[in-house]
Amino acid sequence: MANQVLFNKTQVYEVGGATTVSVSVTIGDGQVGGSSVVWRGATVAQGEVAGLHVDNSGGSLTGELLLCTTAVRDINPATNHTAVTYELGGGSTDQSFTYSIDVSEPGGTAIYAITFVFI
Amino acid sequence: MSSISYRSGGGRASRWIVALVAAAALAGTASAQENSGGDVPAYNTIRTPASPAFVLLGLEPSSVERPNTPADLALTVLNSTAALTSLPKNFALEASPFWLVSHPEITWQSDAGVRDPLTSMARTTTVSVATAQIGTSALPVTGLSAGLRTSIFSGALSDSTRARLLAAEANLGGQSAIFNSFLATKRGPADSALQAAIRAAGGDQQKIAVAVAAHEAAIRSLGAAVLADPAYQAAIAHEQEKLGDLSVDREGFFLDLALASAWQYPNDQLDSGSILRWGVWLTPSWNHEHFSVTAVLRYTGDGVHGANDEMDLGARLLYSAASFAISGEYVNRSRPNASGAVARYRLAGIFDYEMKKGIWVSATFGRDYGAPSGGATLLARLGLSLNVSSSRSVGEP
Repeated sequence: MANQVLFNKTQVYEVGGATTVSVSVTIGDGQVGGSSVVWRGATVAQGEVAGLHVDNSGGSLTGELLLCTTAVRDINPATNHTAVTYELGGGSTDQSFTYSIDVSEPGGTAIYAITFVFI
Repeated sequence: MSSISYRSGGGRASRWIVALVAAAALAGTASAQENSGGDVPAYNTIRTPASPAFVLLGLEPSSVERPNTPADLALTVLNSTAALTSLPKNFALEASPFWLVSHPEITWQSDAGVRDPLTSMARTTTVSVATAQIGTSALPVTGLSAGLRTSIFSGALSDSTRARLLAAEANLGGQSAIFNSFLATKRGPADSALQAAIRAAGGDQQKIAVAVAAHEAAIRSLGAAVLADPAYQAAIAHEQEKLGDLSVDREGFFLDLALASAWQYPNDQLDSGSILRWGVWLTPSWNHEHFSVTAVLRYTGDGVHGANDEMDLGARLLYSAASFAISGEYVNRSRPNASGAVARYRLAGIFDYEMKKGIWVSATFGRDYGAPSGGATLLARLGLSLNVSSSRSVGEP
C-alpha cells in the first residue's frame, strides 16, 4: 500500500446569520484527489465537490460541524507537494482555506481531514 | 566485424535506401510512455537526456539529491560544499525550480491541454549539477558539470489519461469515505466536546481558540490511529489496487531542449579550471498512443580539442504495447571541425520485452558508428534491465 500521510485541521468559519453554506474543493499541484463530505452525520458528497450546499433545514448553523476529508494521490513526477483548497461561501464572508502537505514518497497519498466549525 | 567505407555518392544513396528499408521493416512507433520517462528501458536513447549534466560527465549516479523545497536546496548546497568553501565530491543534484514551491492553483484539469511555450518551459525545466573525480590518484581532477533541460512544447494529456484521472477522483472519494467511516467510530467525544465548548464560549475568541486547538490535537491522534489500523489498511489497499498505477501520459507534439557544460579542475584548484566539454540537444517528437516519431539534433563540443566536436542528426520510430516495444533509429554523426573526417552513421533496431514486471530484456542489432577514422562496427547487444525503483510510470509535467 502506498504510504499515506495525514493533515488535519479544525477551522472556524463565521456564518453570521446564514442558513446555507456552499463548499467547493480544489486539488492543486497538478495532483489528483477526491473528497468525502459529512454533514450532520450523513455523507452528502463524494468525489469531486463543487458548489455543494449544506443547511440545517432553515435553522441556525452555529455550532454545526462540516467534515471534509480529501485523499490526494501524487501523480506529478516533478514534486511531492500536495495542496487542497476549500472554498466556503454564504457566511459572513466567502473564504478560501488552502492546506499543503508533502507525500512521503512518489505515488504516495495525502489524507486531508478538515473539520469546519461554524460559529 | 565488417568494415565498410561510405565515401562515394553511390555509397551514400545505398545508405539511405538501407535506412528506409530498415525503418519500414522495423515499423517503429514511439510509445506515449517514452515521453513519460516510463518503464521501457532506453539502451539506445535518442531522446534529450533527463539529466544532461550527468550524461556529459559520463555519470549514472546511484544517489541523486532531489530537493523538494528552496530550503532543501539551500541545505543540500551548503552541506555538499562545506558552507560554500569547497567543490562538492561525487555529488549529483537535480531540481525542478518551478516545483520547489507549491502551486495550489494548478489542477490537473487546468494542465490537461496544450501548454503555451512559456508555461511549458516553466513547468518542465529541470537543472542538474554533478561532480566526479575524473583524474587519477597521481593527478586528481574534479569534474563539475551543470545542465538544464526543458520542454518548449509538451503535448497534452491523452484521452485515456483523462479518463483514468476522472475515475481516480471517484476512487479517491471512496478512500476518503473509508477514512471518514473509521474515524467516525472514534471522533464522537471530541466533536461533542468542541460543540459544547463553542456554546459555552459565548463568542469569546480566546476560549474558542483553545477549544479548536484541543479538538485538532484529538483528531490528529485519532487520525493517526486510523492510518495504523490493519482493518483500515486492508480496506484502503483494496481501493488502491483498483486504482492501479496511475500513468499520466501526454501526447502530441513535443520539443525538448537540453544544454550542459562540464569543467575540469586539476587538484581542485578553481583558478586552474577549464572547460572540458559541452553539449546541446534538441529533440522534436510526436507521440500518439502507442506510436512516436522522434528526431534529434545533438552537438557535443570538446573543450580541449575542437576537432573532436561531434554533431548527430537522427530519427527514431517506436511502437510500444503493454509488455514490449519495437524501435528503429538512424543517427548520422559528423565532426564539423575535423578536416577530412568521414561522417559515420548508426542504424539499429531495438526490441524490448518485459519478461516480468520491472524486468526487461532488450535486444539491439544493427550498425554502429565505428572509429572516427572510418569503418563501421556491427552492433549486437542483448541486455537485461532490472527496474528496482518505483513501478509508477508517469509522464513529464
